[in-house]
Amino acid sequence: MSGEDETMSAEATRRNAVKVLFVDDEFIEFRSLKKKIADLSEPRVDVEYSQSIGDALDKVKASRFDLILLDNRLLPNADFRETVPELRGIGYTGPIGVISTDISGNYFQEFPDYGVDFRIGKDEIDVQTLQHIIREYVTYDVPDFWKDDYSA
Amino acid sequence: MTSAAAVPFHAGPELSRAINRTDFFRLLKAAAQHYNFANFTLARISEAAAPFGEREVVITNVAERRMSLFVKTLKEALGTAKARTAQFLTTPVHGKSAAIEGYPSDLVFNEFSGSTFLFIPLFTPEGRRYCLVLSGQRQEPDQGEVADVLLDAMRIFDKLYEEILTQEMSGRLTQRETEIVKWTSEGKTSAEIAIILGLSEHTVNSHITAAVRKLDAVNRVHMVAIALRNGLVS
Repeated sequence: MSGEDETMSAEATRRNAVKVLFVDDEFIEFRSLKKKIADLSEPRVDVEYSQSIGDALDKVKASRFDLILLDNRLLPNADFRETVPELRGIGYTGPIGVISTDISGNYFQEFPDYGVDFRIGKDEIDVQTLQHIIREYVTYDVPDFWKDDYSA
Repeated sequence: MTSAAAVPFHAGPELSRAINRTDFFRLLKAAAQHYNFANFTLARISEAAAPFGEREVVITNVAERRMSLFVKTLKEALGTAKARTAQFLTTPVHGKSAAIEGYPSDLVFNEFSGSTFLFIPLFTPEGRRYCLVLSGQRQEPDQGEVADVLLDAMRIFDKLYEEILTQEMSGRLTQRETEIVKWTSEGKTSAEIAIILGLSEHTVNSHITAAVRKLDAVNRVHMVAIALRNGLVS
C-alpha cells in the first residue's frame, strides 16, 4: 500500500467512526455518556472507557484515538494540570477535553497552557455538543495550501 | 432578581470566563435553549450572498449538511425583501416559515419548516456586521422577549469580540504564535510542534492559521519568510 493509499484509508476510517476515549473513575458516568449520545449517528462514534489515567495512557499507547474526554478529578487527587501533560508526554497530539461537574475554579482559565483544547460541564454534554466538538477538533479541515508543504 | 440560581447560564459567570470557540458554543446553545429555540447560528453578514452563506458561519449547532437548508428557510421565513436587506438592518426581525401541510412532522424532509426565525444584527466597534439567527418550533416572540434576546446576544457577542475577533484582527503575533512560527522556521511539522510544546495538533494549526492571517501570508513557507524578514524570528 502506498503512502497516499494509507492516508486515504486513515481518512476513510476517520469518516466512518470517531474513536473517543472517555476517562472517568466513575463507571456510571460512562454509562450516562453512552445513553446521552445513543442517538448520535452522524458521525458514528465509538467510545472506549478508562477508569484511571494509568489505564488511559496504556490505551493511548496501544491504539489511535481521535478525541479524549477526561474527567477533571481522577483518583487519587490529580486534576487536569497533572493528567493532561502526562497524555501529551507520551506523544498524544489529538484533542483533549476536560469535563467536570464544576468548571468554575479559577485554575480552569489556564486550561490552554496545559495542552487542553476545551472544557465543558458534565451536564452540558449531549449529541449537539459532541457533534460541535467533533466538527471543531476532529474533522476540521486544514487548508491544503498551507499544510506541511515544505516537508513534502 | 437576587438569587444566583435565577441567573441563566449564558448570562452568569460562564460569560466572563469564556475564552475559546467551544466556550462560546456553550453560551449560545444555553441562550437559545433559554428562549426555547432549538438552533442557533452566528455568522458574518455577506454582501454577496445576503444575509450569509455557509462560508460566513462562525459558530452554529446546525449540522454542516443542513446549513444551506437552514439559510434557505430563514430567507423564506423573513420574506425575500427582508432577507435581501438583512445586511442593512440594525434591529432584530423575525418571521415564521410555512409548514408543509399534510405530512407527519417527523417525515418532513425540512426540519426547519414551520419554525420561527429570529434574526439579530450585531456589530463590532469597527462596524463589521454579524448576525445571530435563532430558530425553533415556537410562537413568534413579542417585543419584550426580542429585547431580552437582543441584550443577551449583544453581551455574548461583545465577549466574543474581546476574546476572539480582536485577536483575529490584530496584526501582532501572540507569544504562543511567535513560538510556533519559530519552530515552523526550524522545519518542524504541526505534529512535531504539538509534541514539543505539549499541545494538540489542532491548537498548533489554529495558531499557524492565525499567524498566516496576521502576517498576510499565503502559506506556511511565506509566513516563515515574512517572519524572518520582519525579524520576528531569528
